[in-house]
Amino acid sequence: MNKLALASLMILLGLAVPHLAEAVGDPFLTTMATRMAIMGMAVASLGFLVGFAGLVSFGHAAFFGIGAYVVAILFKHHSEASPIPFLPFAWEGSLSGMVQLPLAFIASFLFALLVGALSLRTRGVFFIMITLAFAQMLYHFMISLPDYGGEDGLSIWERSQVPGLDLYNDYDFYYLCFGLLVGVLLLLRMIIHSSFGVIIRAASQDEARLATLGVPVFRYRLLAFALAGGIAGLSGALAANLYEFSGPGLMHWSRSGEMLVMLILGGMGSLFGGVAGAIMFIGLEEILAGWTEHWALILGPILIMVVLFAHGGLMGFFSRGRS
Amino acid sequence: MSSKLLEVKGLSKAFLGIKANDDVQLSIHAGEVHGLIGPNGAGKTTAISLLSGELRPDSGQVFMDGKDITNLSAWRRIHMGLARSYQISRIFPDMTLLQNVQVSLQIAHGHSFRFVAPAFGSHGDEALAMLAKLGLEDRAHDLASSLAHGLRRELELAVILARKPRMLLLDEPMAGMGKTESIRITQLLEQLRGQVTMLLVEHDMDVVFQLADRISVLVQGHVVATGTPEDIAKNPQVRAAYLGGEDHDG
Ligand SMILES: Nc1ncnc2c1ncn2[C@@H]1O[C@H](COP(=O)(O)OP(=O)(O)O)[C@@H](O)[C@H]1O
Ligand SMILES: [Mg+2]
Repeated sequence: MNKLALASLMILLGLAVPHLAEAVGDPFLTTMATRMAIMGMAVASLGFLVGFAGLVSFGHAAFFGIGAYVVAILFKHHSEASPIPFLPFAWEGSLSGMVQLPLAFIASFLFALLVGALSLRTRGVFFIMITLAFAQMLYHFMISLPDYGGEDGLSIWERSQVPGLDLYNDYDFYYLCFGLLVGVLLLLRMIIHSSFGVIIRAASQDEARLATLGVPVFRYRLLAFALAGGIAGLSGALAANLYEFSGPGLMHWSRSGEMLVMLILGGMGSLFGGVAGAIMFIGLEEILAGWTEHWALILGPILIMVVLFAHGGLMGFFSRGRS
Repeated sequence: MSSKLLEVKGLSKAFLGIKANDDVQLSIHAGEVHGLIGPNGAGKTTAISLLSGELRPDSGQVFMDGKDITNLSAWRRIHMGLARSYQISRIFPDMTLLQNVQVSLQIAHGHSFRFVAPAFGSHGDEALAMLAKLGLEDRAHDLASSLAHGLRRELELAVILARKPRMLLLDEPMAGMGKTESIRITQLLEQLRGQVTMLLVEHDMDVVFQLADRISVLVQGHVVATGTPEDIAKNPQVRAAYLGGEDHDG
């Protein structure tokens, strides 16, 4: 089966999810698939960084969290009709998804620009540690803000208003997330094959060679890092809608680690690996949690097996099976 | 009229107190092949990295076309026409040979901040022609990582020549090559003579004495002599310090 056929099949399957869920009489499956699509988007953006740009970020949950907080803060000020204090102009937030979602992307993109500017001068383990440190700083910063819920976070009473969709309808919400996921994957795919993407990939293979061929590698990496951050922010905005909540826990380092685990499970060699990993992780979590509350103890060995025996994750396993 | 393409004044660089380059003076004339020889650890690779901009000197200056480029970053220097090869060839291992050259051409054409069109759709013919020049066209679609050592060197040359440099810094381009490959590279460099100025670091004395218009000898980070191959072969200081009395009559 070639890639195009496989992608078409996945899209058809994705479109059919709510109907399948109804057919088996378990509408909860649609909500689970929504979670998978949301996390799939965040992990795919991480996969773009790790697998294609060669940048192992251990702070990706920070950008995800910023996206969630953007939705929560815009909602809070809108519902209280109070101006947002840290803005230079008077604005009382918004409930519109057409405002909230792009702003979530932009805020995370900008914060990633800042983190990237300060961390992309380092390599390897140092880069991992610095991205981790920035994410933890943001985590503690949000805890220190009582106006935005501090440790408890912010609840959201009203989901984003998206024209033509009702996010309180599970189908509508799922199709929004699924549609955005497909859009993000197509966008990333296009970028990976573009002139910019080739530079990003070349930089991960031999940075010194690229520099002495005339490329200011830092700038390209910075943009790639910010783009991945922005996408994680969009994903976080959707998650805030799903959970009707945003809190510092979304940014905790363990959440960044979880995203890396999903990526390893799914495989870093392909863009879809991140999505496959999210599907597998959330699916396993759902199944195992039904058996035991110590499901993480079972997930651990599965992860080790994947690393040892299915090098390249789930996607690597399948592509080897095909060739 | 000064015809100095590259000039190095008092360049020094120490690593943990070891002076890898110690007050190096060099001037490279436009169009010449300038050999740089010296025993292992003399500081030849360090000198090349200082010239390419990958290392910053502790003191001293580098001039290109009379312009001080000492503080110019590596990626800017190649836009002035200054390219280098590495002692251990550096290429993009997970790309095909053709793609390696295509990336180089893409950078040369200055349009890497583009996000939509597939990159490897362009410069294919030009890249293939460059590979053909080095006799690599049959392997155009193989992964670069599949190449044997000698062919890797040739690919690296194809990649940097695609940038159409004016000045080439070659760090032992024949090291580890078989006789036939070595002869092919010698011929290629001979063809480039006049079009491209070269600083040639090479261990094979026959090659250096055959190709170089002038030679500088580096010993313990210091240039002890510069001159024509005949001068260098006769220089008693050089013979004592480096050639060890061996005969080299050009
Ligand atoms: N990055 C580095 N860190 C520490 N020492 C180095 C480094 N690069 C070179 N040196 C030292 O500098 C000296 C010159 O090295 P090099 O320029 O590679 O010599 P050559 O190319 O002539 O063999 C050697 O003593 C080497 O060990
Ligand atoms: Mg050397």
